[in-house]
Amino acid sequence: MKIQYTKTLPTDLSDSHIFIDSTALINASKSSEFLNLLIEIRDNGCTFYTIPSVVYEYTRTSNTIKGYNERLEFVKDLKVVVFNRVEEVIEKDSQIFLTAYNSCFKESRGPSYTDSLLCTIAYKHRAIEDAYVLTSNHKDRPAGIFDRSQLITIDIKGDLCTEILYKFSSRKFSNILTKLESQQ
Amino acid sequence: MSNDERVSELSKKLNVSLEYSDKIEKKKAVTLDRTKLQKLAQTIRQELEETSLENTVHENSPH
Repeated sequence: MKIQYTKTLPTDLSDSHIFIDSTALINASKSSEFLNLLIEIRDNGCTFYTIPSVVYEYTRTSNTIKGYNERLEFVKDLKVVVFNRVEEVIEKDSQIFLTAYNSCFKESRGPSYTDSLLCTIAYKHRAIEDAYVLTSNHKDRPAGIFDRSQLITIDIKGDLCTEILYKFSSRKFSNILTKLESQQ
Repeated sequence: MSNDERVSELSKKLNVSLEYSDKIEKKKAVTLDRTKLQKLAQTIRQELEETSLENTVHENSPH
């Protein structure tokens, strides 16, 4: 078996919004089965989004103009829309979220910039019922803020990789806010 | 030809434009071109493997 997931996943996600991380794009390039699943999910009406730094992380795997074009074409043909107001979103009203997010990590090892942005975008769109971040980078998706909604296990040349749909949890976020409020 | 002119010429080869949006909204369900995507993925996969192999060889090379 090359991939394992809940069989109703494509229809379950038909009204969802998924923010795609570069790990998911890279794994979709490496695994035909995972790519087929993403196509099926998109064909069922789910909307894919990403951010410019994810596009950068994905295209930097190429060192030729041809390869660069191929990767952009892959993102385009997968109908991934690039959300281009990321910096503005962060500056406006997400500083407390970022403080809460950062508090989930040890001081010496913070999350990456791209992962911070993706999580902030998920927070920003928390009012949307079915908004998820899709990634296999689990260390930057703290369990203290995000729930793991669905798991997709992929066999890539014998190595098992797990892509997870993470959902922002208002309940968990509330707990962190309580801790922040208690700080001097 | 100056470097700026050469960059300008090379930029003409960048022929793919992504869709950008400043808001999240529901998009229409569409049928993706599965054959084209799989073909692109196959090409990219091959390049990733070659790059990975080159890196491995480089990392293991004696200095």
